[in-house]
Amino acid sequence: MDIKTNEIGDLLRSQIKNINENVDVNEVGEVLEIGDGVARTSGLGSVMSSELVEFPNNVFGMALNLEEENVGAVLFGDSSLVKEGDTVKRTGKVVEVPVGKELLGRVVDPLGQPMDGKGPINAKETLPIERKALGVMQRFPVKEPLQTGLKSIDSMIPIGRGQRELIIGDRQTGKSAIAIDAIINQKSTHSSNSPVYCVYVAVGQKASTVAKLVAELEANGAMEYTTVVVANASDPAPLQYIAPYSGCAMGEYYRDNGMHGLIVYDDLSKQATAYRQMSLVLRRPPGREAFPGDVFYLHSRLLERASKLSEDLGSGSLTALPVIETQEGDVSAYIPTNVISITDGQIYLDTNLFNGGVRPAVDVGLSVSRVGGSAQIKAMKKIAGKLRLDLAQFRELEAFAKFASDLDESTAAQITRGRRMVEILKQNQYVPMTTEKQVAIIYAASQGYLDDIELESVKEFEIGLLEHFESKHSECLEEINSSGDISDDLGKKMNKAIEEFKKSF
Amino acid sequence: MKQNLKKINIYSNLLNDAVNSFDDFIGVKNGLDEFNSSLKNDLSINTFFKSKTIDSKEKMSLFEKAVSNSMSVILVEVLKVVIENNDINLLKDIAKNFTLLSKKKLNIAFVEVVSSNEMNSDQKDDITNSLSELIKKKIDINFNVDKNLIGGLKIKVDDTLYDSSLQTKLENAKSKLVGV
Repeated sequence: MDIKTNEIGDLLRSQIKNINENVDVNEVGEVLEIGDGVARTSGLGSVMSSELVEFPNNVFGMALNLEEENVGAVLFGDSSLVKEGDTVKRTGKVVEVPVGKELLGRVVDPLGQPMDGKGPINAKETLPIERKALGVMQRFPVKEPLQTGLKSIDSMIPIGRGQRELIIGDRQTGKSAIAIDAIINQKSTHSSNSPVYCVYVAVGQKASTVAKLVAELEANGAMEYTTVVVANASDPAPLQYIAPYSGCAMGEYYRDNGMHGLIVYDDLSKQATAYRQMSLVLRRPPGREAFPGDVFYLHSRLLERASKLSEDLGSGSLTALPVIETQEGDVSAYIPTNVISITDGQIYLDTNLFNGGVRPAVDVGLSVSRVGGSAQIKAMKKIAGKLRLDLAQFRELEAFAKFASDLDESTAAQITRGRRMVEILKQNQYVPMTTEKQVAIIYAASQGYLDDIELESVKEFEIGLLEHFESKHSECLEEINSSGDISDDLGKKMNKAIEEFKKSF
Repeated sequence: MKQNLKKINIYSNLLNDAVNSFDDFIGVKNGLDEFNSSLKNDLSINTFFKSKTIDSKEKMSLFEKAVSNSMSVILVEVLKVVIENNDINLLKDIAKNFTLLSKKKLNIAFVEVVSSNEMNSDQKDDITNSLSELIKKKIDINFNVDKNLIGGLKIKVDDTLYDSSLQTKLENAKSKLVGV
């Protein structure tokens, strides 16, 4: 843009003309003490709970402890810029973040400020980060599937739009990988009439990890429909505490406007830890594992906001995938049990499976989806029942098989089938698979077509079979996609196609 | 801690019960402030009153001699009890609590006026009278100077800050121009 010096002068003069407007009137208080990211202030008699307050040097905070003598506020910025005796101003509004499609493709902090250097976000709307979850009458049962693109999850632990499905496991078991794959797989929905917009909330993670993740999303074209909310490990605890709520407000925009949203909270254990730190510094009484008494409410009020709306409200949905990290597989610790009880099921990831090469390391026995079944397409439902049964029988016999050298024929057959089932459920990262392809390969395995294939060749067989379907029998895949069921006729066609491929394999 | 709060309440309530006019209040408040500042600034006075080896009677007679002409009777009596009970450490909180209680009782507003230059007494009177009329309360006013204001005034009435300083206006203009 070409602006001459005199034009700049005019611009400045017109702005300065307005300077001499009204007197600034603010309700103020005084900082009594400051430390550990928490300020105690006097005054601020009418401040609201969760209200944004302004300290000098552009540092903002949130009023949390409203006591008789003083107000405890947590700081979102550098507490070294605030000193005792400083004036603190009320802003009159609770913490709000910008929402809308303008945030897609952006990396923002929990206050909605851009962190990606792509310029300001010109969002037209804002929403308070703390909002009440919807009541019973505004909701509708979960009925549409949310495909993660992962065979083991979509077949046995299906997730529906509006569901809360916990991803739980020890460190380095692939929890974030599942969430990222789920986001990447939503790309296919953007060519349909019900696209899913995603929000990824990174809490307490290394900045390098987040940068890598954003690059991965960008490489897979997933950033176009995703917003990343970041509160790094180096950010103050209050920012880590509000990050999930901010992300949720951004996701609720899609839900409330008749669209579909998917939000990943990665992870809520770190948010709970940040909240514990904040609560202890605010001198709130500690309870079990030193967490404050309201740590259950911390997560329940967040996860209750994920919902499927009724038709009157536009049928929008917000699906939540919270992540919890366990220590040494201990699911009975305080935070894991809390979140397990709040969510509609969990995907449990096992270290031994992960180290054994089963990736995603989903422990099918401990994982469950309480409401997703009704959202699953018929075709998948039909084959998943068989898959679950085969795997359950395999697990029972697997340990036994290690000791016995002579096995009867039926037991050996079950073990053979189980091993192949486990093999086809393995999937690489960042390569989500469409539902029809998942159905095709699981169908082939459950019909016993893989039983005589060498275990090492199963992967190769899977790739070849899917290519064969795509090139020569694409009508089968299309029919699964359009009808969502495997009719007898289609079953016969698929059997024929698989046999045909087997001959050439 | 709780014991101290109880004591602070008792002492401040005693003082509050005794003040019935704005002038009384100012007298007691100034007396407390002066005593507090002399304790803070003069180590020998502080050590004398806090000493456990000096007899409390001796402390009280000396205190009475020193302040009986400059302090109201009720304040002297209350402070004597404070000295006798070795509660000198609580004086700051007693003064704070007393101010809060009297503010409610006598309908007083605390005003702080900050200007960029020292004001003369006429200007101060003008501001005091206009403010008192405007907020319909008796006012306890303090005048301060802050060169950073550049021009204009900052007036703080209790918890509300009226800011017409040039410094704030320029800062607001800056954020508007920069678009932050």
